[in-house]
Order: sequence, then structure tokens, then C-alpha cells
Amino acid sequence: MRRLLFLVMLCLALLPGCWDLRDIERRANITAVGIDLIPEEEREGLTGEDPLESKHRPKYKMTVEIPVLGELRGVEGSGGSSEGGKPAWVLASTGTSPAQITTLLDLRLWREPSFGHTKVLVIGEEAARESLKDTIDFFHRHRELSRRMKLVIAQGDAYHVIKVSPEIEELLGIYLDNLIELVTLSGRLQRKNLGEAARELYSTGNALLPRARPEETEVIVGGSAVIKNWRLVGWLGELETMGSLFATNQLRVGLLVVGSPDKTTGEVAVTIRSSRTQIKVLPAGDRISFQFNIFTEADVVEQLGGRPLDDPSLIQSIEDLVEQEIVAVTRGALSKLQREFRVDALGLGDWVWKQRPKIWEQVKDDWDDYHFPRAEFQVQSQVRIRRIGVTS
Amino acid sequence: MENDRITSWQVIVLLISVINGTRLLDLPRILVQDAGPDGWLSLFFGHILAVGAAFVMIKLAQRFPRLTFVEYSRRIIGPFLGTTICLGAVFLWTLISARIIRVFADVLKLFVFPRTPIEVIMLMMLLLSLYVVRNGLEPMARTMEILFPVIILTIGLVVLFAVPELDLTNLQPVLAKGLGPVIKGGMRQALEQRGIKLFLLVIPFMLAPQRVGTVVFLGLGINYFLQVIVFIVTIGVFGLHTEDFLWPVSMLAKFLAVPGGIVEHLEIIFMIIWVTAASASLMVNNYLACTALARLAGLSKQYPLAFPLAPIIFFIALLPDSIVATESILLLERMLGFVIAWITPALLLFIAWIRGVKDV
Amino acid sequence: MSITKMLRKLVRRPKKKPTRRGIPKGLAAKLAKLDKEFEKAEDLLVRKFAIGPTKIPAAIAYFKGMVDDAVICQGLLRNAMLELRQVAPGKEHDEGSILEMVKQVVTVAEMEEVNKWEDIIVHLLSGRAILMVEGMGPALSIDVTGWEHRGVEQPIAEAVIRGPRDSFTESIRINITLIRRRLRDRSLKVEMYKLGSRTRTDVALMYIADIIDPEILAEAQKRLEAIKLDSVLDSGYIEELIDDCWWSPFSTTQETERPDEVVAGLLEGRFAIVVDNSPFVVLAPTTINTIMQSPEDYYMPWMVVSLVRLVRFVGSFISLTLPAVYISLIGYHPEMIPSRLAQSIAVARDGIPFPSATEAFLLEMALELLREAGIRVPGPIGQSIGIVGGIIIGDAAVRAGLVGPVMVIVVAATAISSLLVPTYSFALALRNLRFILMLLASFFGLFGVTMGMLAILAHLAALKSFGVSMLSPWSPLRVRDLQDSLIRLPMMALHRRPGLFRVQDPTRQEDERPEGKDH
Repeated sequence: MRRLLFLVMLCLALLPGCWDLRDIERRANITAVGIDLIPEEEREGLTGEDPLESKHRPKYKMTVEIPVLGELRGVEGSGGSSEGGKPAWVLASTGTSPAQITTLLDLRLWREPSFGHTKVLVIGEEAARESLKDTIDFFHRHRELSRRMKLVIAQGDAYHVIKVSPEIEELLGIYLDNLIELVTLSGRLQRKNLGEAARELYSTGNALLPRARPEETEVIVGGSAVIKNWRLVGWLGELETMGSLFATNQLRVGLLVVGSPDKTTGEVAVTIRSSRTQIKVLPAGDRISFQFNIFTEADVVEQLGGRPLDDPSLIQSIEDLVEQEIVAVTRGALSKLQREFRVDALGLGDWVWKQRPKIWEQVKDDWDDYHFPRAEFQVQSQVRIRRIGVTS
Repeated sequence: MENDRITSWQVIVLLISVINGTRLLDLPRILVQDAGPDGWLSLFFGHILAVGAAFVMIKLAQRFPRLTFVEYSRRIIGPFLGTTICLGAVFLWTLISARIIRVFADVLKLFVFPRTPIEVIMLMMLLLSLYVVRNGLEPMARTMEILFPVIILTIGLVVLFAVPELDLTNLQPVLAKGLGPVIKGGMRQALEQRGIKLFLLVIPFMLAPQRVGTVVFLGLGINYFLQVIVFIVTIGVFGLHTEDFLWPVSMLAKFLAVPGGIVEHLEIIFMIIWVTAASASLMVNNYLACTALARLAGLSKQYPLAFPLAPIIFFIALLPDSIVATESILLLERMLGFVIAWITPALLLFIAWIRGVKDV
Repeated sequence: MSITKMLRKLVRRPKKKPTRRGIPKGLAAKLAKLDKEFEKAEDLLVRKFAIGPTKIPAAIAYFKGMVDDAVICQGLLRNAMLELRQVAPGKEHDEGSILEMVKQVVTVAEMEEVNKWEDIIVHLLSGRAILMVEGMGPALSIDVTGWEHRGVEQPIAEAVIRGPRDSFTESIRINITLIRRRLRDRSLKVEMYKLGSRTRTDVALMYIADIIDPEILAEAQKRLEAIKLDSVLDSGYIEELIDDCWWSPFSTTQETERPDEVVAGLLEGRFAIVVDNSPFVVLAPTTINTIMQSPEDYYMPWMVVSLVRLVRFVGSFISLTLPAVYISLIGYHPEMIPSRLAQSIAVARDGIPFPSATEAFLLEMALELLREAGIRVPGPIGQSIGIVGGIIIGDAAVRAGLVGPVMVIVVAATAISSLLVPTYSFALALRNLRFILMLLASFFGLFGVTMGMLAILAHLAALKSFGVSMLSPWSPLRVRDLQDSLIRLPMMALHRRPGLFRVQDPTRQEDERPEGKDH
């Protein structure tokens, strides 16, 4: 009897059933999202006919990319028309905040928008200058979004990035995702996903985020955006980005070109095979001194003109040059952040807390404004050239 | 055949399941809030205290080797007071069951089922628990025994996937703020190991009750090991940012990628397996409530009471208005837990020692 | 109120009038009574003749076809009619001495005196010949059974590549012989039962007396004796009636058609039930571990076998959960599928009219239809039905846009995986449960699947087969028995029998290695 009751209860519970069943092809899988700030002067014209709405004037423009299933290459025999229609539908919509725009997409989409496969979030330059907090919060809180979604700051409008239809890939989202993921040679990109960015932003409000530049049929990534207190304050160039990676022990690979070690040879290019940075925090009077010890292993990959690299002393002098270059690059990045932007975007304050918690207690309140700009940096580099390629 | 004898290993597994069912998810947050990077020390301190409390219970139980808490409490302090305390314990276990159901239904609704009515999710968990509780102690212990490696494996995998993201310097600085926060956090951690209440009831059902001391050491030892690994990995990935997340461990799963990219959104798998762990904890609490009540009523078996108790659990679980309101249940649970697991056994032992009540 | 009891009540033979037990003395009376008993049983043959010099009238009765005619003629009639005269010419005889003399001259190995009329009937029906003599109470029952039966052939359901190729047949004698031949142990016991009030089927309970746990044995005897069915047509009847839990999809016994598996089971302290007319022998107690073992596991190198075992477990897991996981992933958590794969699945599914759950149920049902049809279809066409059904219908359904190609892969993978389970009844149970999991998946996605799996686990944890937990040796954990579970250690390491059947004699192999083997 009890068992019967059991079954009856189970059946009653299940009867209305299948509340959350939404099949994959019945969701509008948004692959890329871009957010732009609408300039003040354009906002007037966007207010709708609804007087209730006039209080909330649209402030942001969100651009989403949705794959068009019928046009995608799929399994043979079903889908994938050869007429060459566009594989992605790029849709721009305006509203007061990302949450509102997403909800209102409901009125324009024939399927339920889903963020499960969103690969990139592109934030336009102006939107980033206004405030990253407004734009990121919705995505950070969203249950479906992957924390591994790439976050990039567009130089210019995010709309133009999303609008790019890449030559080689059907969907921009996947293209950009792979592009950023596979930066494995140059070492000139601050690769951050949403989770990592949020980790830095929510603890200090400062961060370095990757930069993207739209072109005709491609997107070029490289360099980084400097975020100070949730706002974009400027950019770091590609080499400066490399310096910032050196300073934070994040650089694993990269290419450096140095001048000729002596008069007889030409310029030499080395790729970094591995690199490790030790950071030490030392008190220096009322200032704080950071010591960066960078240990690098590198290979010579190119030598323009000149004699063969058969002399150990030649290698030695190349090592010296690379050391100098690394120090210069790192110093460049550090001093730009310190002097020009006056922002600790590298999380150096954390190191003070970890190594000198007592000092940190004293300086933490005006770290960004006073102590960081006055901090002293000592950069030391040690380079070993391990291989010189297959020719001497 | 007899259904009520369990091995020492099964007791260890039961202990770990009942403690960690819901705790592991927010453990790193509480630890970081209390003691920052020194959380592992608090945890250690807390476990030592918990071992002490467990030994008080064992000492008490050894005076009455064939009786459970329900019987000997009444024998030591008289039927009225004893019954009151036992009812308090039954209420506590019911409360815990209800809270587990509610919290997990909420988490599931948040992460996976935005539209499914929360009652249905709760009912599923409750029905499963009901089935297991009716089966009795031994089948329940066996279920946990099989589940245990699965859960350990899941944690192990999360740890493994976290290794590339791990930054152990986040454990610095050591003792930056002195021992104060560590001890404060330790007290809290000790109270959080409320699962040791298991020993109020389970000892007479053990095949080898004389080994219960080893069981406590091993159980809490493995438990410490588990919790500390979870803590280190979480803080290694998130740093002090850990305290901003409601459930840092599920965020951890959200943060990680499976090598080879077979599965994306690891957190769903993690959540789902975690429901298993929560169910395990729910079953044990539900069983303890039923058994204590049955013994109080003089019944020899727990299953006649499983059905009547279920609607009560369901009702209590539906009481709080929001996720935030469940915190108030948690608060009540902490207070009651402190009284039942810490104060009562010590008092009972003291009185029993003075009055010389024994059953050997 | 268990259903076994209800069943037993239902089928209990209605009480009939007590028959007179005694055997009449006169031959004519005997024959008349026999005639009355077997009225219209025209295959009953009665041959009258005279014994010895004094020409005492006698008769032998048997059922045609159930006996070996050569034995009747050569061993029985010839000796009784001719030889007896030479042995004892011209003597008067009393009852006892006639029977003694007949016993001496009839050259048949087995015979016994029967004193009850009821026994005569039973013996006759069992295919024995009954010799009745004028003026004598007891009759002589002579074993001359010899009906046509199938020879020992290759196993069909449990084929192996390496290992013996003989399998049980429908004859209980041959089956017992097949076991005894492999196990020349004086402790091998065979207890005979006659079960079924109408069929009177021979049932043999076999065990090794100094290995099996007496409690398990007593339980087995108790349950066998409790059977009050009127008919036992196959070991399946017995299996169901001695089962521990009638509403469980899992059977707590195991069936096999391989003698080597039975012998291995007996050696592990289990018992076997051999049923006449059934080529399947029931082995118990059973655990999930024994269900997943195949006799071949012990004939092949242990490393290979360990891998194969893991594959088997994975396979049964897949066959249980794959369609449910498919529904969950497609319908509830598509974000878990890697993006590119998700893309191509979405493209492939675009335009399919049914939700994934309906699609899965449709195709799984189709598969079940094909499977059932494949069994029923006569001989050689069977395979082609599978091919036609699988490939052509599947392909056509995909082309017509009824189902997605991924679903076809899922169903095919499920069907293949379910073949990995060595025990047929367990594979069937998994098939049943698969549908329940699919149902749960269509309501709750992976959460439902997990809850379902938990319920199955809890059920298995509560299930005991003759007092042995179905989940041993993993739970209750017996570290020593893990040597032969998910993996199999080399024979050198298997010193002990599995302890989970509580064996009396745990040693399987002396611990010391033989001289010179270690090099």
C-alpha cells in the first residue's frame, strides 16, 4: 500500500512536467555579445512612444551574434545550404542596461535567448570609459554564462567587432575565442576570461584587460586596456603588455628582437621558452620597493646577416642584450602604469599584503593614490640561451 | 535477516557524509571571512575541539553500551528532562533535513531549473530519502559506502583541474593578524562539525563498538584532509576574493575547464554530483530523526515513522521566504546543535559520573 | 503480503479424494487399477508374461517413448522370462524370493522396490518400467528411461572464444554429469527434489558441502521446499520463486548454460539448482560482481581481463544511462556540450518536429521492437531483420527528418553496450531501468538521472541474495575480495576464495610458491 502511495505521489509531482525542457535547437544560442555606450546626443531620438518609458532613456547598445542554423555547415544531408547565406545574424538593440536589453530581446527573437555558449564579451571603448561595473555585473551574476568566456575591450565600438564576419570561421564568437586562446607565440596579449577579470576587478577595481581592434574581415588582438577603478583610462602597447606580463609572472612565451651583439652580426630575434618572475617586497624608508627577478630561457630563432653564432662569448653577449631588453620592457610597463595612469593594475598591492602584511595595513588605504606612485621598482633579469636553431 | 549492524568503515563514511553534505560548498567562504589565509589552521583547531566533543559522547555511550542517547538520557536525568532533550534532538535533525532540502532545491533552481517549481525538486529529494530511511541503517550505510568514492573522485577531479590555475602564494601571509581570528574561526569550525551527533545514536549498532575511538580519529582526520584540500584549492584560485561568493566551491567548478574539452560548464556536473552528497547527508539526518523518535515512542524499528515525518520536513522546508531567510534556520540549527552536541553530553556525563549511573 | 505467497496460494493443487494407498495383491486387480488410473492414456503399454518355471503371471508397464526399448527387451524381458528358469528351475517361491531372484537376473543398473500405489504412478510417469507379479504386494521399479534428447552443444547465450564449448542440455542427468565430470570432489553433494505437483520435475540442489556456508544452504533448502507450484517447466520458475525481492527489477539469482561457470560458482561457495528440461542452471547467491564476471575471465591473461572487466562496467553504465544523458544534455544543459559539437548537433536537429525526449522514446521503442522481432523471426532471417531495421529504418528516419542522426548514434551505442553484460537477466533489468531514467531525464535533466541512479543504488544496497549483499565486495567493503572484482589479479595472487559467501574453507591455493617456479 505504501509503495502505491509512493508511486501516486511521484506521478502527481511529475504530471505537469518538463518545465525546463528547451531543446538545443530551440534556443537562440548567443555566441558573442558586444556592449556600447550610446552617445548623449543620440539618446534623445531613441526614446519610445511610451510616456512611461521616458524616465529610462536607453543608455547602452547591445549587439549579439546568433548562429543561423540553416546556413551553418553541419552534418551532411541536413542543413548547410550552399546558397551562401549569412551564417550569423547580428542584432543590435538598445536599452538602459544589459539585463533590460537581454529581456527585451525576447520581443525580437523567435527563440529564447541562451547564454550557455557565449564565447566572448566585447566592451566598447566608450562603455568601458563610462563604467565597467554597469556592463559586467549582469554577466557576472548570470547563471548560464561560463566564467571562461573571454572578455575584451574594443578599441572603438564593440558593434564593429561583432559585425565582422571572419573569412575563415562562420561565427565570430568562436573565431575570437580561438584567436585569443591560441595566442601562444607572441606574448603580447593580456589574456583574461570573465572570471579572472572579475576576480581582479571585484577585489581592487583595477585590471589590465585584452584589447581588440576590428578590421574589415578580421579582428586583431594585442595590447591591453588599463582599467582604473572600473573605468578605462588608457591603453598599453603590445610590448608594454609584454612587460606587464613579465612583471606579474604570467609570461610564458614571447618574442624579443635585440640589436646586434657586436658589430659583426645583425639583429637577433629570440623566443622565450619559459620565464619565471620572483617578486620581493622590501621596505625602503617610507617608500616600498619591489624587486623583480626574472629568469628566462630563450632560443635564438633568427639572426639577420653576420657571422655564425659559434662563439660562446657571442651567445653570452646576446644573453646580456636580451636581459637589458627584458628589463627595459618591464620597466617601461611599470613606469607607464605608475607615472601616467597612477594605477596599480598589476595587483602589486597583493604582494605587499602577502609578504609584508604589517606594512600593508598601514598603506592599504591610500595605496593607489599615494604609495603606489611613489613605489620603487628594481628589475633584474637573467637569461639563458639554450638553443640556437638547427644552423649555427 | 538482521539489518542493523554496520562496520567501522561504514560509520566513518556516514560521519563524513553527514558533516560534508552541505558544508563543503560554503566552507571556504566562512573560513576566509573568519581567518583569511589562515583558515586551514582554524580548521585544524576546530577539528581538535570536535574530537574532544566526540570523545565526551563516546565516554557517555560506553557507560551504556547497548543503549542509545534516547534511553540513557532518560535514565540519567529522569524521564521528563530526558524526553525534552530527545525531542529537541529530533527537532534538530528534522530541521537539518528540511534545511538541506531547501538549500539544495534553491541552488538547483538557481543554477539549472529556473522554471521548475521548487516543491517538485524538494519532493524528489524527500521521496528518495524516505525510501532509503525505510530500508534501515545497514542499506543506508551501504549506499553511502558506494557513494563515498564517487564524491571523493569528484573533489579529486576538481582539484586536478584546478592545478593549472592554482597560486599557492595566496596562502600568505601566515598569521598576519595573530592567533585571535584563528581561534575564533576554530570555535566556529568546531561547532560546524555538528555531524558528530551521529555518535549519540549509532554506537549500539556498530559491529565493533570498541573501535569507536579509532573511528572518530580516522573519520575526523579524513574529514579534515578533505576540507583543508577544498579550502586550499579555493583560496589558491580565488585568493581573498573567495569571501564574495555565496558558494565558492561551485564557483570554482564554474571557473575550471576539463582538459580535452569533453565537457563545458563543469559546474553543472559538479552541482549534480553535489546533490548526491547533500542527499546522503539528508538521508542520515532524516534517519536519525526517525530512529530517535521511534525509540522515544518505544518502537523497535524506525520505518513506521518515516512517512509521518516526511510532511513535517517538507512543511518546514517551505517556511523560509528566500535563500537569505534560510540563514535563520541555520542560526537556530547552530544554537540547538551547540546545546545538543556539546553541552548536553558533557552535562549528562558529569551527572552520570556523580550519580554513578551505569549499564554494564 | 508477498506476491510469492499469493502465487503459491493460487496455484496450489486443489485437494482431491485420497486414493487408496495399498497395492492389491492379484495381478489382474493391479492391472485393472492401473487401467482405471490411466484411462485414455493410450501411450501406456502393459506387457504380460510369465516368470520362472512355475509360470507365475507377471506384467511390466511403461510409457512408450520414455524408455529405452533395447533395455526393456535385452535387459528386462529376456532375463525375466528366460534366464530365471535356468537360475531357479522348478521351485516354489514366496514373495520375497521371487523379487530377489528377479533382481538378480535383470541386468539393469538401477531398480528399487516400491510399496505404495502412489509411488508406482510417480515412477511410471518418470519413465521407469514397473514390474508387477501375481500375488505380491511390492512392485519393482526399474530404471530404463531413455528418451530422445538433444546432445551437448555449444552455448548460445554465453559464447566465449577461449574456454570449453559444451553447454547444458534439457536432460538433468547429462547436466549433473557435466558438472560432476569437472569436479571430482567427494564433497560435491547432489540433493534431489521433485517439484511441481503435476509436472513432478526433477530438481537437483548441488553444492560442495565443506565450502558452502551452512546458513546459505539451509536458506536454499527452505526456499526450495516451500515451493508449492503445480508445474515447473524451466529453471526460470524456480528462479522467480526463490527470489529475494519480487518487485525488484534485479534477480537475486543468476542463470547460466555453461558447466564451467557453475563449477567455478560451486567452488566459490555458491549453490547450483539444476532443473530437468531446462538448459539453464540457477546459481546463487548472486552479487553484481558475479553478474559482471564471465568464465572466460579466468582463461585469459589477467591484464587483458582487467581491462575487459572495466569495459564491461562502463558498457553497462552506458547502456543504462546514455539515452537519459542525451535527453538531459540536449534538452536541459546544452551548454555542457562543447560549442562546436553543440553547433553541429543543433544544425542536425534543426527542423526535427519532436522534442528530444519524444525522439529518444520513439527510437528506443523502435529498437525494442526490432530486438523482440529479431528473436521471434525464424533462424537465418533474424540477422537480416536487425540489419534492415537498424540501418535502413534508422537512415530513412534521419533522412525524413523524424529523428536526428545523433540520436541514432546514441541508440546504437546503447544497444551495443547492453550486449557487454555477461548475464542476460541483468541486461534485461538494465533495459527496463533505462526507460525509467529516460523518463526522469525528460523531467529533470541530469538531476533526475542522478536521483534515479541514487534510487537504484539504494535499492541494490538494500537487496540481499540469500543473505549476501548484492553490492559486496564493495559494500560492505572487503578489501581482500577486491582482487577479483573491477580488476582480476593474476592467478598467483588469488590465494583465497572470495569471503563474501562466508565460505568454510577459504584457501584456494597454498601460499608457498612451488619450487623453481620463481625465477
